[in-house]
Amino acid sequence: MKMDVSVALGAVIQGVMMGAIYGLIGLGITMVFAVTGMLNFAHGDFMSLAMYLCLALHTAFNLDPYLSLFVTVPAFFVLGLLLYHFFFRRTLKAEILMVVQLTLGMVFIIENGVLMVFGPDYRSVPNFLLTTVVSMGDMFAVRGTYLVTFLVGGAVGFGLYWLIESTDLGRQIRAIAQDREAAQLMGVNVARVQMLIFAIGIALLGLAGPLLTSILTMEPYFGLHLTLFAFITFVMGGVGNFLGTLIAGYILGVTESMGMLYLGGYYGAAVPYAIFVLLLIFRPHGILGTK
Amino acid sequence: MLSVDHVTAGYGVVPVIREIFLEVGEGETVALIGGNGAGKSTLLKVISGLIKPKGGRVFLERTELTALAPHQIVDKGVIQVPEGRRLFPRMNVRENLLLGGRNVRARQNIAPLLERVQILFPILKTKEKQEAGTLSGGEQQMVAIARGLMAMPKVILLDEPSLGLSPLIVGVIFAALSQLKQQGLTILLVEQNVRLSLKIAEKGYVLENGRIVLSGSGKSLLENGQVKASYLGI
Repeated sequence: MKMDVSVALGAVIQGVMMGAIYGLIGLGITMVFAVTGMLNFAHGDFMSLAMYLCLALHTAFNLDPYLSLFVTVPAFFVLGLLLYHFFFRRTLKAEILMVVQLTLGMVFIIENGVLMVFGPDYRSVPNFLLTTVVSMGDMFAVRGTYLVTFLVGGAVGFGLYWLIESTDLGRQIRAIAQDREAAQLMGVNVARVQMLIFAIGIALLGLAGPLLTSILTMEPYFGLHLTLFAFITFVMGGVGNFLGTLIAGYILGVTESMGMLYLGGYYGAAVPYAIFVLLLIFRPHGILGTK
Repeated sequence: MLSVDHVTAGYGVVPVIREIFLEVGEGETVALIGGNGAGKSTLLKVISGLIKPKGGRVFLERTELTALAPHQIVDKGVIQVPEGRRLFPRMNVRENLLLGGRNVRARQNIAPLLERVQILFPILKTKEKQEAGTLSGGEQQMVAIARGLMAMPKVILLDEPSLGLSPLIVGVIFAALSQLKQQGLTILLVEQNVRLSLKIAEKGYVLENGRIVLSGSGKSLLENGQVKASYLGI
C-alpha cells in the first residue's frame, strides 16, 4: 500500500514539474494575445525548432542541452524580433484569419524543414543530468532533469508574472490589454511593447525547448501537439489571465502524469483533454477568468 | 502654445473636420463647444496623434506634432483625458496614475506629482488600492484627470469631463479645473456643458458640422445670440 501512495505521489510531483514548463509555454501565448490579440499556431513548432537546434548543437559540437540555452534563448529572442517585424506586425490590421493562415503556413514550413534536415526518427538529446536521481526523504525520488526543468521553468514563469504585476513594463502590458487606445494616449509605445513581448514569447520557447530535450522525444510533427497544450493552458486559465495560465500548466502536467500512471497509452494521453473539457463545462471562462 | 493650423481630418473619404484653426495661448483655458458629431473628439484625436490629418498641421510652441506618434506627443507635453474616462478598469487607482506619469519628464517627479493630484482629489489617496472599474463615475473622472496631470503636461486636453455626472460632481470637477487654471496650466476643454465651460474659459470656439463657425472670448460667446439659442436654450 505504501508503495502505491509513493508511486502516485511521485507521479504528482513529476506532473507538477512538467506543469511548470507547460505554464511557461502557455504564458508566451497569453502575453502575446494580451498585447496584440494574435494567436500563433506555430508556437509549439518554434519550441520544437529550439529542441532540434539543441540536437544539432549536440551533434556538431557535443554541446550539452543546458549549455545550448545560452545560444537558443538569445537566438530565439532575435528570431522573435525578426518574425514580428517582417511577418506578424503586418497582420495586426488585417482580418484575424490572416494570422491563422500565416502561422499555419509556418507550421508546414518548420515541420517539413525539420523532416528534410533531421529525418523522421524519434530523437532525444541526453544531458549531463540524465542519470542523476535526487531522492527526497525515503518516499520518492525525482530525476535531476525534471528537477532542473521545474526550478528554471517555475522561477521564470513566476518571475514573468511578477514582472507583469509589479513593474512599469508589466503595467504597460496590462494597459494595452485593457484599453489599447487609452494606453497610447498615456504615452505607452504600443508598437514597441508588442514587438518586445512577441520576442520574449519566442525566447521562452528557446528556454523551454532545451530543458525538455532529454525528457520528451522529438519528431518533426510534434510541434502542433505542444501548441495544443499551450492553447489549453491559455484557455483553461481564463483567456488573457497570466496567473491562470501558469496554474493551468500545473493542472495539465499533473493530469497528464496521473493519466499515464493509471490508464496509460491512448486513454492516459486523453486525460488532460478530458479534464479540460470538464473544466470548461463547469467554469466556461476558465479557472481565473471573469465575465 | 498649442496651435492647430488648418487641419482637415476624418476616418473615411469624407472629412469630419475641415480647415480647423485654433490657438491655445500659454496658461489659457480654451473651450471648444459644439453638438454631438460636430468633430470635437476627432480634433482631439488629431492633436494626440491617434489619427493623422489629411491636411494642416499641429504645433506645440515651435515643435510640429503632426507627424509624431502618440507616445512622442505625450513626451512633448500634450496629454489627453479622453471622453468616457477610459481608465484601465482592472488596475487600481495608483497603477492608473503611475501609467499617466511614465513619460520622460514626469518619470523623475513621480512622488511630488502623486502628492499634488492627491491634494487636488483626496479620494485618490483613500481609494488608492481600489480597482478603477469599481469606482463611481465621478470618482473615475477624477482619476482620469489626475492620470492626465501625472504626465506633467504643458497642455491638457479634456474631452467631455462632465459627461454623465451628477450636478454636484460636475461642480467638484469644474472647481478643480479652475484651481488648475489658477496654477497656470494650459487647458483645451471640450464640453457640452457650454455655460460652465465658457465661464472658466478665456476663449471659446464653436464647432458645427466640422467647421469653426464662431470664436471669441468666453464672455462674448456667452452673450452671443447664436450661442444662446443653439447651446444655452435661452
